[in-house]
Amino acid sequence: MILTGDAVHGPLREEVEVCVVGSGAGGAVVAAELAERGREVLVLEEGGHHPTEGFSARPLEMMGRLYRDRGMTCTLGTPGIPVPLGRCVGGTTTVNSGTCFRVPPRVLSKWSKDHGLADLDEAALAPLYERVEARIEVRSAPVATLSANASFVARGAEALGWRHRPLLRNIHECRGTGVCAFGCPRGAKQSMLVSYIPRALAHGARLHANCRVERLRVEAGRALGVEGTVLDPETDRPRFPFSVRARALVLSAGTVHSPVLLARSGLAGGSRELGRNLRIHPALKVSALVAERVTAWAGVPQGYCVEEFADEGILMEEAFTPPEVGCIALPYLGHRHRALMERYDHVVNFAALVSDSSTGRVWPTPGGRGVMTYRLNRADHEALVRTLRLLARLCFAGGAERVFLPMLGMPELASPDDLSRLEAARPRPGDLELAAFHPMGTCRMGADPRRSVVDPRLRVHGVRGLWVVDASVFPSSLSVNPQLTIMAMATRASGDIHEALGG
Amino acid sequence: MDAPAPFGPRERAVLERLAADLVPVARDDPHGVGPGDVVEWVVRWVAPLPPDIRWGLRAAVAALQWLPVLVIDEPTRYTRLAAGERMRYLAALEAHPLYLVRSLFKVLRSFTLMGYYSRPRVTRALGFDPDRVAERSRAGHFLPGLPEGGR
Ligand SMILES: Cc1cc2nc3c(=O)[nH]c(=O)nc-3n(C[C@H](O)[C@H](O)[C@H](O)COP(=O)(O)OP(=O)(O)OC[C@H]3O[C@@H](n4cnc5c(N)ncnc54)[C@H](O)[C@@H]3O)c2cc1C
Repeated sequence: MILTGDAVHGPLREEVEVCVVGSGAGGAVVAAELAERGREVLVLEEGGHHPTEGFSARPLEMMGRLYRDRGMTCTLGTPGIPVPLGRCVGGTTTVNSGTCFRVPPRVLSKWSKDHGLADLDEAALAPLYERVEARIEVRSAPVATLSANASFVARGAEALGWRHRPLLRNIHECRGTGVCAFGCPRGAKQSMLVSYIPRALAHGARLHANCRVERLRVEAGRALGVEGTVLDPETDRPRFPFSVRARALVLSAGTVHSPVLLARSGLAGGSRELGRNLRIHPALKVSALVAERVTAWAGVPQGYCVEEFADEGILMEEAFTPPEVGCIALPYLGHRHRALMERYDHVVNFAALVSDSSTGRVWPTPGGRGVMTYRLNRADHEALVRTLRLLARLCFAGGAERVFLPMLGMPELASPDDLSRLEAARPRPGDLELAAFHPMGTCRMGADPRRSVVDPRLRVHGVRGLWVVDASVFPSSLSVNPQLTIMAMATRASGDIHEALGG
Repeated sequence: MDAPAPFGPRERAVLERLAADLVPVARDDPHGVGPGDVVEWVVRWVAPLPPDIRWGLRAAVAALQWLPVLVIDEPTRYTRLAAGERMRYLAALEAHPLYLVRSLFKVLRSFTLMGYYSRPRVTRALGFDPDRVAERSRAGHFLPGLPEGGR
């Protein structure tokens, strides 16, 4: 059962076996896995419950409903980087693009060496991935759903001899509707909203939407429960206080809010690592104009990738957006911009993510929100500039007439001859327009309590009965899209929690 | 209760000028969307945002209005510049050496463009019809325009 804020008519007090904070990739999986094992589970979600039937395919309207601060969350720094976050039942999976990757073995080896995570190897993760992949129906994006944008990317990669393929996606009867990031109106994308959450509810779990957790209660080193506020679903204004007592507490509020909640509850631990080590997997996107009419919004927006540079940490993926959002990415002002927009059905684009070694930090603010700071280091900046050049080459190889760059001082390359101008350019970090979709690392896991926030089994160091299960636990950039790995880790943690609760 | 209005009348006038310059949304816009409509959208979009973001946006509007003297050496307000000067000023803001100035302008540019291009009539004219997209999607149809399955 899902209880929404408007159906609450007074202060709430609950006592349950397991309380899960957050209903995204981490929280929903824990809730379902434990409910299936017969545990009494309550999920608390700050965002609202927006069922698929109400998804309008209007990008901005849906951003207003499903994203935190209408999608305006961003890092402070030069450059400031937008890092949108979901805030609704299903968390960010409700608005993500549905791309699925397993973590590359090279990342696991590094974790083993640097963070004492030896038991987290490929063999240990394989059955967890298999279980998740079956449950959210991971498969290669069917050719029938791919857009003309994907054909363009494939053509470019083929001409350059770069490895390319359709992406793996969590989908059920996808029809290439093209608005994954604004809530799939068909429920084809197997987000938590339509997969693990219904599974959890079917096994007796309960979910309270519009319930913002503000403090974790811990006494004598043992987590006892949470306290917070029921919000009005329309206005977000506080309505009533609530408190929940639980034998096991699972914090899955995501990379920005899990550390904030720990810090507000005085659980910074002894390591000084809480809130630090923020990685965001920065991305940039190049747009291009092609001669033929492509209507690239028809089809999966993120259905195709180029893996040629994956070993360098550069992963190229499509990321097409409909005109009402895509208008921002095209350059120029006034009539020149408008002229480009009038040819939006001839626009294609391609993006890439760079595995970052730069770090940032999440700071709790007095109001309980998290503020992110992040500073690009030289290595990542250089990788981003290289990525920009590669993307521009690919666009011309795919047949682009003009290529538009997210770069100050060089908004456009008018022909392949201009690539040499880009090669010669030396943009500074603030000259690039970046975005990021995969924040992680602020409650990193590790064997050494002095260098990590949670232990290798995701238990908060020094606190009994408290687990962190979300993207915040990864000790470095995954270098791929993270949802599948978060879900695999959540599957493993569920077994641990079940065992810890005893028979 | 409605959220507090994020902009006063003067700020709205600046935003209206910006909308007319950026899109540009002429009074005879073929889609029937004028600068006032764009500003209405921006106001509604911004109203529920947290106060610190709303303050940041008001600061951006103030900067836009008062910076001509520093940016293009014109000792007057943005809304009082001649048409050609306004475009020169906006281009200078967009490419300004100070990151903060560029960023504030970028936010206003983004909101203005979103305000115009989210109008159903405008998106439909460009070929993207969200209502039809949602309807076809629910009915299990591929979208017209798909290179493979959709045809
Ligand atoms: C546009 C976009 C596209 C993406 N595409 C992909 C993709 O294709 N593939 C992929 O692998 N990843 C993608 N991601 C990232 C992926 O979705 C996230 O990494 C993943 O969902 C993170 O899971 P999580 O459990 O850490 O947090 P979330 O899924 O963000 O869930 C956290 C939940 O906790 C809630 N919460 C926060 N604070 C509180 C509180 N105090 N009280 C109660 N509840 C609270 C939030 O509202 C939220 O619902 C994308 C992200 C975005 C923004």
